[in-house]
Amino acid sequence: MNVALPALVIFLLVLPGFVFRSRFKRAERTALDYAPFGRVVAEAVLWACLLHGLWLLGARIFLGELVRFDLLLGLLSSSPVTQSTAIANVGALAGPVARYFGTLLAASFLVPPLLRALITWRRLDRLGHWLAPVARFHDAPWYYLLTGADFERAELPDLIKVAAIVDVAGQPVLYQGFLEDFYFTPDGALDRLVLQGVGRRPLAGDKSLDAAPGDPAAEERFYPVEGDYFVLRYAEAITLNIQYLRLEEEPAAAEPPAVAAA
Amino acid sequence: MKALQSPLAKKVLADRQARTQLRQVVSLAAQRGGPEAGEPTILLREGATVRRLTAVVVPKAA
Repeated sequence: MNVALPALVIFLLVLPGFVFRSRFKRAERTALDYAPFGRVVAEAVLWACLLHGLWLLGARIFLGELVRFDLLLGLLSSSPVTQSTAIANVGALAGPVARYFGTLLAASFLVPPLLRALITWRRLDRLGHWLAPVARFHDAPWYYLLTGADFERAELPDLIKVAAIVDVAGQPVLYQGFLEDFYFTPDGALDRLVLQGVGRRPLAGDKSLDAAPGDPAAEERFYPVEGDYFVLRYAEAITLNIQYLRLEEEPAAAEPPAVAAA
Repeated sequence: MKALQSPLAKKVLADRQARTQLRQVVSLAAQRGGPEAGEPTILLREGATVRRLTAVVVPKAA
């Protein structure tokens, strides 16, 4: 069997980069990565270069070992004699080579989730942070919109109000509720929103109610939707409005009237 | 994926009465273009204590 050894060596060299990239990115699609091939390869090769640089530096500092570029070039050579000599030399160094690639691949698999958790925890990817151009996960726009990841920790709202217009039997109906969960389709589009405390009202009745300000009927125009959770399919929403809310405690001195429970 | 929801918001949404009050407070504030003095309040019962809360719209992150 003929094996294209140079291709195999190059694959082994860039493999840690591909592993690191796939484990590091936060993307909302799960089935297929539609990122342009050139971008994927460029990112993977860049990560591979960085990882090899770190590992070679570590090998130099902690083990006193230097990279043998002569052996690497020998493996990539088209000359059978040079390649055979390089294979024999690498075979003699099988332990260190296996240790190098073993630890590199293990780190490529284990470190990215930790790095991603650190970025999320320290909010290094939020809009306006000086590290955001590098640390931001550009393939996850809904994540930033619906988890409040763009806010500083001290300014984080308490919850998100969602209002969506849905076409029900040819009539536009406004649904309003508080966001609990959201799900994606395998290709990364928003699939459904899970809401709590939902109310609805047909938009057709707005004009008559607006014409009578102060009318008690106009005060609470939403009909509550009974149930613990309301699932709104994003494909059925004509428009989606997002509002961030903060719950603030009122001072004890103020005694405003409580809204009567429905 | 879990959406943004603080522990306090979880408590309010878990309490049926507080959840209804939150919906009404938000609905009324939206109609009036913002909260006003003497606006209705969300009452959150935690054991023997009652917390009075109000919902304020937060501008999006800059």
